[in-house]
Amino acid sequence: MRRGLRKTGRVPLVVMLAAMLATALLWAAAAPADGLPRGIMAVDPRPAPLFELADMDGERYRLRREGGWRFVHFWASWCGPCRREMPALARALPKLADMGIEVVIINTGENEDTVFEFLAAVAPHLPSLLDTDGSVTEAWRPRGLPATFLVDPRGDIRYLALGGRPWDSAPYLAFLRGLTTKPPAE
Amino acid sequence: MSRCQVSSTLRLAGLLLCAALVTALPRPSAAASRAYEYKNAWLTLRLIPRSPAQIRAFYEARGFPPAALDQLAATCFITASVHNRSRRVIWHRLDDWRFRRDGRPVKRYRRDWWRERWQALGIRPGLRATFRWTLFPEALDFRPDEGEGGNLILPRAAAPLRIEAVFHTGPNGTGETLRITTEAIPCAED
Repeated sequence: MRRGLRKTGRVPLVVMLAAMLATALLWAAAAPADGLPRGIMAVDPRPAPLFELADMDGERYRLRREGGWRFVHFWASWCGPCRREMPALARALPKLADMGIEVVIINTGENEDTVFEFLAAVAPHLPSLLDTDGSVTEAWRPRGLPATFLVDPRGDIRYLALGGRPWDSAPYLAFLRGLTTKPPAE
Repeated sequence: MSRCQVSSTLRLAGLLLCAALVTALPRPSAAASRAYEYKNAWLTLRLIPRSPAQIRAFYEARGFPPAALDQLAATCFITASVHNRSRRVIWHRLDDWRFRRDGRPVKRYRRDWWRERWQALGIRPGLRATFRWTLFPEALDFRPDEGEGGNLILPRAAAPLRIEAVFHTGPNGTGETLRITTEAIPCAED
């Protein structure tokens, strides 16, 4: 009886340890030595280029110098990594809103119909601004598409994401949550 | 009522239905797109020649006019992608790459050449921006795990191309030079 108890007591412990190890390995794979999730790069702060753009319903949005943390994302429907990233971004959206991070999604160079058609199939509830002539995208100088910039409450670009990222996964959400809970750097 | 005035919800419902129908259709064969892949300890380079029909279809779907499509389809498109597999920065300048055909150098069509063409054809700024973003970057410091890609555009000819892709390592690219010389890569045909 005692043996049986010991045996059944060990199984969950082994499973738990294995699960913890797997989580740690996954975390390590996602977080390189600088402590940032994979593909997130700290940059020398530079002022975020301000802009005003309309969304698909004609509502205008203006990026102001100061505010909370802003998650500024550039994409295009023809870009494969953008398509693959969109569902994760759509899932992360309400979590980012809960953290108080403003999400600003900007389509590069396409018209309203193209954007609407694409989002309807991939991420129907994702709102997007339209940079129809591509000038705002040029001003932000992304390395490629998709591109995500994290803008601090003072209006400076502090981090950028290289390519598409699984924004709804634990390391990325923890990183984003950390931004909003720590005081802004000098 | 114009199309733009139709409510977003109605349009969304219609487009969801269209999207469901479109995704149910069989996809066109990708037989024309053979990929050439090269790997070393630092990076993966992938090259995919695109046929004129593929190029036409892609840019036509973005709204490029027939005159622009004719110009694009008359060239040799190769989609290149680079993934930095190392933990160091890899420096790239497209001007360092060499393209040869039958042993002779081949000049790629550069961004300013296309800018003049699009200006002459009156292509709207949004399409020009899209076109620029579909080109392979002119220069980039590839960060660890970073992957970027885009099109290389060269004159079309029957003879295959030999491409020497050159990258640099070390601080500001002053370290070891990496060279990848490809096998004979053809321009894809329809």
